[in-house]
Amino acid sequence: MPAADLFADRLRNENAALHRRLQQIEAQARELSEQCVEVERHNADLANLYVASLRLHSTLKRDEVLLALREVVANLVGCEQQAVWWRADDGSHLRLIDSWNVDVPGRVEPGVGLLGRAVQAGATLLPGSADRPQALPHEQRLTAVVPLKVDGELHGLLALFELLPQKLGLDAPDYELLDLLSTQAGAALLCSSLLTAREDRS
Amino acid sequence: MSEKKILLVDDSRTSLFMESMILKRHHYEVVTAGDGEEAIAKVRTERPDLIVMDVVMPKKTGVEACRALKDDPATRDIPIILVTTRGEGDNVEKGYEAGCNHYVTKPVDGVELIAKVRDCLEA
Repeated sequence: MPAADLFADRLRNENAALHRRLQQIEAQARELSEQCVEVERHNADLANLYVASLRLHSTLKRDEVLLALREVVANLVGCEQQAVWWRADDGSHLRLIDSWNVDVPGRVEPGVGLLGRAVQAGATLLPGSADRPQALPHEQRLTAVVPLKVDGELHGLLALFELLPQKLGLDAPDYELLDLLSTQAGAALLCSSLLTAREDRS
Repeated sequence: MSEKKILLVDDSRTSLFMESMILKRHHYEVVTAGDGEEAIAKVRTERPDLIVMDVVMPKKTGVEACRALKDDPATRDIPIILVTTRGEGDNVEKGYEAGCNHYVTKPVDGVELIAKVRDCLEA
């Protein structure tokens, strides 16, 4: 084979090798970019948990704890229809202490409707289509019911109704946040309630 | 290179805190305001490179504050990203009519916010 053909052959092979290498580098860059976005999302999810916890425990005034809870659910979960019930002194039922953009009853009786079922179960309830027949009229648009607990004991309920239109559903980071709210909002509300009761007595 | 300064405007301390954390992690300097009126005053004293502003606020809404800033020759070139509760046509249209450059919807996605901030600052 003439030297010129050999040289051209070598150049073609080098060119093909460089193309393959370029494709590999592009694939690596894409992968790194996706990993960066994933890390950024994970950081944002952790930041949300941190912000929620910090906001709930930044005050001992019950109204401000309730406001912080509203803000956390609205801004970090994406739900502006919420209600909170708290255990009555005799423990027989829960009574409404806050509601936002929803018309809900003043009390929740254990075992009655989906809210009452959540009280009995003491666990987060994410109503699906199978639960709808047991839902009372005001529970038809429930998205989640979160027990507010301290040391495993239920003290209240947080109910999330319709999500914001652009929020298509709850996902894993939302469930983590709701888990955090279950204990942290429970503790913050209990502390602020005890303080309010003590101040009322003195 | 100096840090770019961003004015965050929201009446919710939760939002301010969360968005501040996202922006500071990306090495932006953050100043805050709690409503539209305070935002307009802070723009004049802080001279931010960008404003990220909630729409629903007391005193002056984000759309009203956006319009006022875009009507003023001294502040009209500062890009504004509005944070809306609803991403539906009407809200977004009002924001763009008032002169905003971008919008993001709640709950704010950190990756999306940073992408839009970069887009505004690099434009």
